[in-house]
Amino acid sequence: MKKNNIFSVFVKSKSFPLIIILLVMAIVTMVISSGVTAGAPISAMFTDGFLSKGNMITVFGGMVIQVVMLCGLGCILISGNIDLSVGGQAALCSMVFAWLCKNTQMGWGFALLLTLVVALCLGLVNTVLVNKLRFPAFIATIGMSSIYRGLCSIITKGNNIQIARQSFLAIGKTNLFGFLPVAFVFALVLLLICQFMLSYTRFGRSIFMVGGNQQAARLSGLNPDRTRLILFLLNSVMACLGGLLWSAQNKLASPSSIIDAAPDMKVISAAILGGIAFTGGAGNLVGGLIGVLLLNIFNNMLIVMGIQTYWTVFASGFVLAVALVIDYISNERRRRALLLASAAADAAEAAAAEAALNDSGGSP
Amino acid sequence: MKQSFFQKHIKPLIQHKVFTLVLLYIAMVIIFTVWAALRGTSFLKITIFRNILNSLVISSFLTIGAGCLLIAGHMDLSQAAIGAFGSMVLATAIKAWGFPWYLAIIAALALCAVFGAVNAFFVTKLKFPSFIGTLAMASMVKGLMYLFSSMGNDGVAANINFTNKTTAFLGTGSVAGIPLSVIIMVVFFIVYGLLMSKSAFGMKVTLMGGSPVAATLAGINATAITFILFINSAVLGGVAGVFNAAKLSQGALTALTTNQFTGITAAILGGISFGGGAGGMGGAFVGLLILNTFQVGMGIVGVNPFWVNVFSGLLLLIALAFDFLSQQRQKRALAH
Amino acid sequence: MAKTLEFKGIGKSYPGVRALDDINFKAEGGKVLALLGENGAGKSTLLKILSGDQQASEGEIYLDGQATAFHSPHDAQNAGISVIYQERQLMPSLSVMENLFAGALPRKGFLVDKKALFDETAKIIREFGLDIRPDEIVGRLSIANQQMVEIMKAYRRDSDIIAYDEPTAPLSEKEIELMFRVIEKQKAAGKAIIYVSHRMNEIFRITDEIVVLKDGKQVTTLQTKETAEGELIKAMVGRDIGDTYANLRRNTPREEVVLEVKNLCTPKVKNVSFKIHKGEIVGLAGLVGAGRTEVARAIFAADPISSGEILMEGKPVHFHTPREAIDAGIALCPEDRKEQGLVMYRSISDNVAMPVVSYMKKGLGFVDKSVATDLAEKAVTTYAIKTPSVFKIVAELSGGNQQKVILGRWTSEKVTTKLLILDEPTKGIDVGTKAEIYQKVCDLASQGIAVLFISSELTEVINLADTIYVMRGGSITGSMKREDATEENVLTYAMADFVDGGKEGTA
Repeated sequence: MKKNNIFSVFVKSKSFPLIIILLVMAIVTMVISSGVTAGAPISAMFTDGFLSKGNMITVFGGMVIQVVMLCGLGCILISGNIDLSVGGQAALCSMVFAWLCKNTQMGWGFALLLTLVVALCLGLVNTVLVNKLRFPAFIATIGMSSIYRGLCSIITKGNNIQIARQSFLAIGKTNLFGFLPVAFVFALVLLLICQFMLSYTRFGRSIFMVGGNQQAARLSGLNPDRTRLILFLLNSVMACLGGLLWSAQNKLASPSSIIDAAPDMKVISAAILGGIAFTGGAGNLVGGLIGVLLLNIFNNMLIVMGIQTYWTVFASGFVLAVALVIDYISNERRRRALLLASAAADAAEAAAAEAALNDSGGSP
Repeated sequence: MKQSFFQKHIKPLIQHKVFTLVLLYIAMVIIFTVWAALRGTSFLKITIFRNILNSLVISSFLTIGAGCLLIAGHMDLSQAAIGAFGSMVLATAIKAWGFPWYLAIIAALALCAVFGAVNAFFVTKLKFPSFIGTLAMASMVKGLMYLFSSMGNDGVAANINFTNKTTAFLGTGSVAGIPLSVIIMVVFFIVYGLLMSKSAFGMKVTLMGGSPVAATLAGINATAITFILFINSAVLGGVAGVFNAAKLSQGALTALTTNQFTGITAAILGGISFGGGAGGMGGAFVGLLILNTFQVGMGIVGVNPFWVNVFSGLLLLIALAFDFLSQQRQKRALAH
Repeated sequence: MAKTLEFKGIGKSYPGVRALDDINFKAEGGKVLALLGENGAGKSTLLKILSGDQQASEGEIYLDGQATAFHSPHDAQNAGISVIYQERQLMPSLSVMENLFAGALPRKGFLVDKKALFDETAKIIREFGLDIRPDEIVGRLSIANQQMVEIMKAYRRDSDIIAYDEPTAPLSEKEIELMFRVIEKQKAAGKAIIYVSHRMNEIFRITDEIVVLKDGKQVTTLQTKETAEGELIKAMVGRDIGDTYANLRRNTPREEVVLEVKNLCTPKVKNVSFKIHKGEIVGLAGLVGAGRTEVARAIFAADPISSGEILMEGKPVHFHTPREAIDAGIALCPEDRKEQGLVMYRSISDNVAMPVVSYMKKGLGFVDKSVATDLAEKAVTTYAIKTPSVFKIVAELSGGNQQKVILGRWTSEKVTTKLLILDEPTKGIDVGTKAEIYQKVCDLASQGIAVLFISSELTEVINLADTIYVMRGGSITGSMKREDATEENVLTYAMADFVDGGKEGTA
């Protein structure tokens, strides 16, 4: 029986070849950026440049919002849906939270709870649009993202809201071992929990079923509408958490920054890189995580090596294109392998049948 | 099956959802006029409508390109980036290479066409989903654009200013009181509208959009059509970029970034309004008109113009609602 | 535990349509009840009510004498009813075991018990006698195996009442046997079985009682042992077709060779050679997966050719796209009517005009829609397509009428078809329309068109074709003229891997 644990899932993911490329590039970057080629000691490779503490904090810190969003958006994609408004939701939630922190005396934990309630409402809005009104999620969420963008701009009038709650900001400031942001660890744990849910629980498997064939799922007794409701709520909560963690890291709520960074597009690209099919029914969050790592680390490597910014812009698109090409090649190979396999099976059948015919001494 | 004049021409016109959009537009104009009057300003002025039409121009080309693609079931998210690159090429061609205006435009559009062909290649031969493929393309084109602009500028990417009387006229000049760019825009809408609804090409695109497999097996060259559509989208992006550069006399790195979203939204509105064909272009035009009029109107009555984002989102959802209600009716009738 | 299902006075109305009217029958445990009827007779609607997917407008359903109502498929399943649909309802990216146990995954604590899932699935697969692994991804299985998974799903639920909706369409003789064995087992276990099929031989083989539906009404209920095919057909269509095939007006094929295929090879086709003469109907028989569709697609240039030659009217041709084949006079009616043959949400007129859009130009490249309308109207008349207008969307037509639209497309005035390839053209079509299509095919042959008729229905191939080639595993294993063709020898060539020996499944 094939193992389906996290490790085998990792190895089988489509981005495995990309990881190898990434590792090779990482080593090159480590060498060049730390000045080893210019005469610095070998040990500098592990402490300066690419692997320096400051850089690691930047890289992992930047990934936090994406990883958290991946938890929600990844599941949505697997269920055969999409939500392009997560950036807007994150922005809105972070704005609400910051506003509460600034203008009221409540503890930030309480503000957090209220913000989560807001997030749940946003999730409900999505559910109503997709479940009750049966709008295509793609267009409906584009519409909602426009609305959220407008709302944020209107309320903040383009300004950011500072957050001064120290204990909250500590989440964004603390770094384990000096280089690993606590926020990232938190995001990682969140992702692993969600992946566990996907692989090992009935609800998790039902997400795949709804995404694989909604009609079949319904006829098997599952309730796709209920699955979607839960996933949209989860997604909004994740978007909210992502926005809040971002705020903690940056000490303020800046809706325009969040929206402009287009985290939704990045997460979707990463998800597809990681093997989550655009049409749903397949893939896993670990693959998506690899996609996020790939995109961000690759980007960072170029920056650290001092390569001009426009190459990094080019590269992010290029990596995606390469991933898609690898996808195409592996699909082609699998398709041809299947053809050959079935042709071989037919030949084997024919041979066996010939033998049987000969045994029984002629036609029946 | 002979139909009366009314049945054949007037009735379908009324049933077009474009008609609803037009009604909505008229209602909005009335509301703004009254509102503005209450605030002591006027809305119903020629200059204002001229402004509105002017603001439509750039997005309109993006919309047309996006709309044609949507019928075939594809999206091009790299349009704006390609168009921006086109504007840079135009500027550079005139300023640094000394090209006459027409050669500069041709150069710009030719480059865009190449990018469009690459998009088509990705989608047809490498089976990239168009959403993701063009997204990747957008980043790559942007990067190349920065590289291009930095080449003539000591490695620093920057906007390029240039002067050219013809392009300036193209971008800002008027003919008989109407801005030249507006005239060109209207012509494009009409031509494409006719093309998609009445020509053999348009019919093939519609059939392909309905079922690429069936269309191929019936002898329609889906690959060729897809290539044409993506190149078309890219070139139209280039046209938008050219106009942008012409208006500002500058090739800007950030050209078209805000227009991309409006462009696609209007195309979706148009597509929803009629699922392809003339109504698609007409609906897109009216959709664009509504969005831009709203923005201008809000400015006049002194409300935060960011409301236009909220409004455009709502408009999309409402259009969806209308379209889906009628599709539901159709599907329920098919349910047995 | 034997259960009885009774439908009393069941009726169903949709806006403007009376789909079912006063249906009464009783399905008893240990017996198989057949539902027979043309397309549009109401069988699918009846099954949807049974499965809980739809609710009846009038009437009552009784389970063991108790009135019940199903508001959802979930309800019906809980009440012990399983319906195996014609269109497979599977999740292609998931494994066999997850498809089988969807909605009822075994639990260990609050996690999925993967070992139990695997073992239970393996057990069911063994009982069916199939060679599939439980953790195999369904999307990678052959169509026939996927259908078997669909059947195993219902088996897993161990329902007391099981309905099969045209289950054998995608199956080969081998799998049909396995399925019948399972049905026998279910009968013996006291389950009540409802069997919907067009295939007379199957009805006479395993059913005990037959309910005949026509236009939503119940025409008659007969005991299988007491009736014969002729009576059933008469009841279904309300007219005596007599012997469908004997009455066909045929012609004799001519001398000229229209199509010659020499040593054709593709990944799934191995060295196929044959000829089709003008006015000849060549039947390509074989089991599902024999490679016949692949031959058709290779000729039509829908798939690339690895090696071999194709000659049209004596001249070698090398087509790269279907367009080139069409321009040379070849036409294909694909096996999958809905996905590959038609643009479902466009009108009849649009679908008929598809290959000739470029030739309908007038003036500045504009398309003259009246030409399309004209072609469509002529097709409607020629093929007796039941529709109030040519602007009706093809998705609203029945399967038979849809097939006629495709035929109309290839035989319109603006298309010169020399070779017409039909791939399973009568799949899922009622007897009455089938006869119409057979006659039309013969008429087209009389006009000189060469016809390649691919079908898995032995009776059809044998009686319609002038020459028959049989394929198995990508090669031609036998050929014969109509006079020498019997279902036996065709079957023999088609399935020599049937080691049991002995004849099965023939009428």
